[in-house]
Amino acid sequence: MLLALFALGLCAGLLGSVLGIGGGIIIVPALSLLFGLPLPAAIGTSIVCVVATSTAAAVAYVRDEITNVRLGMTLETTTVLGAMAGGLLASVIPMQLLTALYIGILLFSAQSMWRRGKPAAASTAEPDSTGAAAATHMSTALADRLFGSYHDPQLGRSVSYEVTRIGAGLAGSLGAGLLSGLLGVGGGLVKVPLMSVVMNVPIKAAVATSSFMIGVTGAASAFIYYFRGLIDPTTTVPVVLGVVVSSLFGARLAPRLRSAVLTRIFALMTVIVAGRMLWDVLATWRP
Amino acid sequence: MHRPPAARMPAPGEPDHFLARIIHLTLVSGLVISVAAMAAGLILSAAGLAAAASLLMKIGLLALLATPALRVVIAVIGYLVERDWLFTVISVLVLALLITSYVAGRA
Repeated sequence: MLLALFALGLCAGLLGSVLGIGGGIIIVPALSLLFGLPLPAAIGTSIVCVVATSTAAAVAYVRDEITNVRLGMTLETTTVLGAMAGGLLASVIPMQLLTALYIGILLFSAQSMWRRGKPAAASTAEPDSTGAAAATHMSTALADRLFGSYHDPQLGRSVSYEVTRIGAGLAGSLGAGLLSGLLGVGGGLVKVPLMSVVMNVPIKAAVATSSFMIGVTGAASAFIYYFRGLIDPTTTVPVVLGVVVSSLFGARLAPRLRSAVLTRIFALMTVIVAGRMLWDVLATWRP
Repeated sequence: MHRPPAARMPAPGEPDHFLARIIHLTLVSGLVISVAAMAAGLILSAAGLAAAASLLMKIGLLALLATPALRVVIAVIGYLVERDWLFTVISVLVLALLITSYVAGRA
C-alpha cells in the first residue's frame, strides 16, 4: 500500500514537472478508482501534490534560471484573482456548459501546440509586438522588464526571448484561474500554451514558469482542504514523497529534451485530458 | 552608504540572479524541512509510534504548503532590496490576494 502510493507519486511528479502541470490529472482518478478514496479526499491529496510538484520542480528550474520569475509573478496576480472569483461563482454557473467550454479550449490549445511542435516551425518564433505592449504606460514598463533568457542544455547555447501580448496574457491567465477555481482543475494545461503560443515564451521557459506559478494557487486551496480535515496524512505523505523525488528528476530531464518533442508530448497530454473530460460529461449526460 | 552589487535593480535585458538565488534558497529550505519531517513521520509510524508520527507528518505537510506563500514574501523583500518598485507592487498584490483568499477560505 505504502509503496503503491509512493509509486503513484513518482508517476504524477514526473508528468507534472516535465510538462509544468499539476499531476492531479492522474492522482485524482488513481486514488478514487484504484485506492477507493472518497473524491474530496482524493482531490485534497492531489492539490497537496500540485504544491509538492511545483516546489520540487521549481528548485531546479529556478536555480538553472529557466523560470521567468518576473513573468510568473505578473501572471500570478490575475490567476489568483480568477481562482478566487471562480470559487465564488461555482454555484451560479452551469457546470456542463463550463466543462464543454474547457474541453473546447483544451482541444484548440492542443492543436496550436501540435502545430508549434513541427520541427520547421519551432525556430520561427519572432517577437510580435504589434499592438501588444503599447496599450498603457504600465504595460510598456512591464514589457521592458519581461524578457527572458536561459541556457538550453539540449541546444548547448543560451536562448533569449521577448515576452509579447502581455495584456492578452494577463486576460488569459485570469481565465485560467477562473476555470481552475470553477472546475477544480489545474491551470497548468492552459498556462503553458498561453505563454508559449500567445506570449512568445519558449516551451521550456513556459513549463518552468508554469511549474513555479501553480504552487501559489495550489497552496491557497490546499490550506482550505487541510483545515477542513480533507487531507489524510497517512495517504498523502507517501504520494507527496514520491512526487518530490520524481519532480526533482523531471525538472532536470525536461530542459534536455528537444523543444519540439516536449511541445508534442504536451499537446498529446492535453488531448488525453480533454478526451477523459468529454467521456465524463457523456457518461453523466441526461438530456 | 553602499549597497552590495547584487542588490540593485537589473537593467532591461539583464537576468535577475539575486532574486533567483534567494527564491531558490527559500524553496530548498522549505522542501528539506517538509521532506525530513514527513520521512521521519513515516519511519516512526512504521515503528508503531502513532502519535509522534502523525504530528511530524502534519508539520511536514504544513511546511510544504507554507513554502509557496513564503517565496512570495521573500520576493517582496527581494524586490524592495533591489528598489524595483514595479515588481514590489506586483508581488505585494499577489501576497494580498493570497491572504484574502486564505481568510475567505477559512470563513
